[in-house]
Amino acid sequence: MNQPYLEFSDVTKTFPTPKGEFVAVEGVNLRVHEGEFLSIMGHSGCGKSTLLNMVAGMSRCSRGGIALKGREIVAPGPDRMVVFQNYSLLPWMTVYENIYLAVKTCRKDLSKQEQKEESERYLEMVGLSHALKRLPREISGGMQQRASIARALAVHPQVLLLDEPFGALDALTREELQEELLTIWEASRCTVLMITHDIDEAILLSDRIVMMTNGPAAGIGTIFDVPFLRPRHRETLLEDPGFYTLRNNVLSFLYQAEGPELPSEPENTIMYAEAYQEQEDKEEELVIGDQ
Amino acid sequence: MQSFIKTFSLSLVALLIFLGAWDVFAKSIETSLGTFPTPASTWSAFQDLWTEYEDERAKRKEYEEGMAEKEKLHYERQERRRVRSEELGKEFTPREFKPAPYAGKPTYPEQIMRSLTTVFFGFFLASAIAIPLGIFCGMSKGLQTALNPIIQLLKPVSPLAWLPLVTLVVSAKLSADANMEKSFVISAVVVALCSLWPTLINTALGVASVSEDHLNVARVLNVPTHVKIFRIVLPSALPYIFAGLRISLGIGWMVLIAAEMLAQNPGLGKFVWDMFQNGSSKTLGMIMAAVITIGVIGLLLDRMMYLLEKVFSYERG
Ligand SMILES: Nc1ncnc2c1ncn2[C@@H]1O[C@H](COP(=O)(O)OP(=O)(O)O)[C@@H](O)[C@H]1O
Ligand SMILES: [Mg+2]
Repeated sequence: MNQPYLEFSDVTKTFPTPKGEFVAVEGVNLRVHEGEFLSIMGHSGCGKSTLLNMVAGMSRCSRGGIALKGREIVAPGPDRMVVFQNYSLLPWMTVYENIYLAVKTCRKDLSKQEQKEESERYLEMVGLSHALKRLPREISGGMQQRASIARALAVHPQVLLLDEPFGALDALTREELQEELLTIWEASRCTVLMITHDIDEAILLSDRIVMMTNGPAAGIGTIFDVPFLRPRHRETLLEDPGFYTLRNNVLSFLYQAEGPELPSEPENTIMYAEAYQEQEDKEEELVIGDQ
Repeated sequence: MQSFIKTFSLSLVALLIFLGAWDVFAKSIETSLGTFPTPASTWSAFQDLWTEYEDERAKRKEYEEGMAEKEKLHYERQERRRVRSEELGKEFTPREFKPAPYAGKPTYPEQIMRSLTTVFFGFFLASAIAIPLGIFCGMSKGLQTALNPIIQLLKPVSPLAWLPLVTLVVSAKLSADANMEKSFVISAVVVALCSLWPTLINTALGVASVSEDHLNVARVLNVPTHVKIFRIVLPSALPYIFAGLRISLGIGWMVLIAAEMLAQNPGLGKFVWDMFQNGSSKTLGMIMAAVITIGVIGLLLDRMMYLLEKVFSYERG
């Protein structure tokens, strides 16, 4: 369990721009264990997607490297499935066909019949049995993201990569999907890297939260352990005082990272509380508005 | 429904005004072949063409019945000779009955059919080349860059410029006993040469603008190339391809009339040309009738392609 499963060594990415080299990510060192759920947080444009793309094999590191089970990652492959932010279902195929294409391509060990059953099983798992024959544009964003997750999980990846998977969804759907992902993941326990902007989401789902510093040349600022026992539930978590401590730590890191001209520490603390109160009010409004 | 009635009545009014203006205008133009065809004379030309067709059909029927009669007589005679040969103990070789084909002149609907056959032959020929080539161009930046100057250069060439060369090549390559007429092949090839470009350019554009996200799906899943082309690239490019095909068919139909005139392919173009050659005030009406026919068929072809486009565009439907 403790040998490194996914290992980042001195991962650096530079982009050529008209004004010269732009260093997006620099010197990232990280060891991820098998079956670990990792969240990556940081300000917009700091290089989270860049980092994830290198794990996916969509782009190569400019310096350093990433190894999965000791083998360097050089190209995309179904052992590292990506759930894209915009779902990326093929719009001319039904939901079922989208999943079946993935299963057929990546699970060659199964017979045709088994591939069909497997596709249906995963769609059932995300609660889409009733929408098999629908086209992606005929279902809601939440359902599309469920299908996208089903597709990713159905190929049995070793690492699941999620780039702001629920960012485009409304708060209620987001919470629903977080809980579903949690349940499904408990069953499969694959290694997960998830980019998110939602602190509660990160705490609820992950074992560790990787905080990235601001770009250019972003790196890992700090890593928070999320010690809560699994299986986790949102309600019990919200009653745990440790949850709020962790939440504040993450928040204060984010605010610190925002820039040097920010107010000093004590004032900051008040700001988080206010920000939190504001968010709570919003969520309440949503719940009331929905009834 | 309300808006449909409104559209319909507006169109009707415009049409009536158009016909009135045409009539006044036509009567004021004297040509060397008589007055310019009016709506009325055009209409009567249509009626003449129809009677001509019915007469021709009656004649053909008569001819065929006559032939059937002759065939019967032929085989009766054969039978008599066979029996006689047997009696005399001589060898008998039976002879087939070969009727001479009916040599009537092509009627108007036949000429229309001929034109349609030619344009579709040329159109399919062009599509069979343009779509695959367009796919390769769209998938490979290098090929696209390499071929772009050639495409841009050949695209604006008029069909009439191609015609002499095509005539020479087809005459040289098509042996005399081939079961396709030279004039047909020449017209079809000219159509193909001109309707190649919109499909080619649109296919390349459609393939090149496949969403990066969808290509990423292919990359992550590591799908084989043929799956990538047929399940991801082509479906996404289909709306573009059909838009290109639609433009191509429109151009092909326009080009065909000119090509038929010059290549003497017995279709609508040749019909117009022949009517012009044996000019009389009556044939002017025929030409006008042909002009309207060409317009109506062009419109129908365009509608047909539009419907296909709608069927195959997954998003804009
Ligand atoms: N292909 C590229 N070329 C140049 N710069 C890029 C490219 N991709 C990303 N960047 C830059 O790298 C930085 C990190 O981007 P990204 O990883 O998308 O951030 P995020 O953390 O929001 O996902 C940004 O400043 C972005 O402008
Ligand atoms: Mg991003």
